[in-house]
Amino acid sequence: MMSAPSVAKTLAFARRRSISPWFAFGLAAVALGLQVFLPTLVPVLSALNLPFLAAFYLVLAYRRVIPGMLACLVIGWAQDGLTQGPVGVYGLVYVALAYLGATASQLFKLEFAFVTGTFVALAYWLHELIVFTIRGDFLLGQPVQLELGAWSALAGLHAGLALVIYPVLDRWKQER
Amino acid sequence: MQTLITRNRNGILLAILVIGQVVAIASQVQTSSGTSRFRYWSSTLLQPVQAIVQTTVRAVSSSWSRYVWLVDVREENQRLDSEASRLRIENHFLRQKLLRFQSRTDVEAYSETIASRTLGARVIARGPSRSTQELVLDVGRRDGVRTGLAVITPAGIVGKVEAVHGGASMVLLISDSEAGVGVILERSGESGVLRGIGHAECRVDYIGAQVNVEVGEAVYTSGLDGVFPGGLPVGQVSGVGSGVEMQSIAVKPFAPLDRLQDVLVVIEGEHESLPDGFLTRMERADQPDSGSSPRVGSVMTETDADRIKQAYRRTVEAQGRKVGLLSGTGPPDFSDAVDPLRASRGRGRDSPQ
Repeated sequence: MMSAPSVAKTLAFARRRSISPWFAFGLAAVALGLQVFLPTLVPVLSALNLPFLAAFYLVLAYRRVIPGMLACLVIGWAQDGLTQGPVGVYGLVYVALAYLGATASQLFKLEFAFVTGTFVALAYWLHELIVFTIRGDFLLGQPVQLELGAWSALAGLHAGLALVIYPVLDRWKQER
Repeated sequence: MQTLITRNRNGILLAILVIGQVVAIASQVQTSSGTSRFRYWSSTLLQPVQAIVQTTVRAVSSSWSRYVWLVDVREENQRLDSEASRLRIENHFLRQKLLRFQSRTDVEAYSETIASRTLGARVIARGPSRSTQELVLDVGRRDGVRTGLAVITPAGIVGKVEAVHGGASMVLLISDSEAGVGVILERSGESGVLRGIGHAECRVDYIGAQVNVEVGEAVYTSGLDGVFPGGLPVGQVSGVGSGVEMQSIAVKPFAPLDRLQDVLVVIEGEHESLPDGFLTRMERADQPDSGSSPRVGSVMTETDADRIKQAYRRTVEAQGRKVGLLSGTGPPDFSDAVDPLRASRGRGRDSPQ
């Protein structure tokens, strides 16, 4: 288990480097694959949104709006393609998050794990809100419920997961 | 401009991606009514604009075509005028055809309700002279028509066949001054002779001054002229003029003699029953203590046939027999009825004096 200073050092080191398209592609593919595969083994894991974590990692790694939005657009469309719903829902959500995340990442120091965790939690909460809006009367007209407590709990869960996964991804990227 | 785009390219790209995906999602989703949500949105947004544009275009187009661009209007007017004239004529002919068809249907239906054997005929011409009231029918000798036959319609009698040709026959209308028809009046049962006076109305002769005749009273054929079966409607009393001995009674025929199209020729005549209440009125008039004029009643019932009937009835009743039943008592002896009959005949001859 890494200590907080070492996590911050790792993140800071990693984000000074560029990310190859192959890495981004592989990360998205693995996240999508696990997203559809893990719930078959452990159903409770369907609460996780691994493509979201991957997309937001790329946003924070690029720290630039346009590459982040394009990467998120592709991941979102791919995730939409795995669902029965219309294509564009997750694409729209991730593009919005990419814009906000990339813009915010230029204003805050992501070297601190607290900042990254907060970013992820807020992004997840926002992602749920946008999905809620799209699935509701605005577009899809589906019966949805405003579950603020569940969203907050899941936001915390994803933030914690991000603090575990992101340093690993940074290190793996660094080794390559 | 380029600087503005460059400075805001992130926001512009975000807007493009967001709007594009919203449109993409909307185009994939249907509303509860089954239409695409995108189409629903777009139509909701564009409908007012379309309405304004459509109204404006229609107004301009209408003004242009109605007040400015009048090329060929004159020719079109003439064409429409001629077409309207043609349609009016066609409409007139069709109406006439329909009326003829309806009239023919009525005549055919009537022929099945009367006892006489009749032959349907169509009026193909009218008499050549205004002074003679004649019709020409499309049936003649080949169809079994012969002179002296009655011609009738459901409304009333028309006339009698005056001349017969191979395939046509000429009918003298009852309105002709040469025509004469035996008739009886509805209320009094008084017999008379209907004569034409050359136009729409006829008159009834030989109705005594003492007979009460009212305007509106119906007139029927009596069957005494040997041409028209009895009981056929003739017309309606339209005027009554008093005289010293005879009344002058005008009758308007029921049959539309001036616009006949389909008629029936009576090949074999049978008397028709008179309307309900007709005989009842006659019998009531026969009672000495009835409210009607006794003289009218006596004229009504004191015929030879009535006297014979009464004499035979009294004879049968005196012998205690029942006519029509095989009682084994033998037929009645009518020799006793001869004297009263002769007496009554003598009384009948003497009575006018």
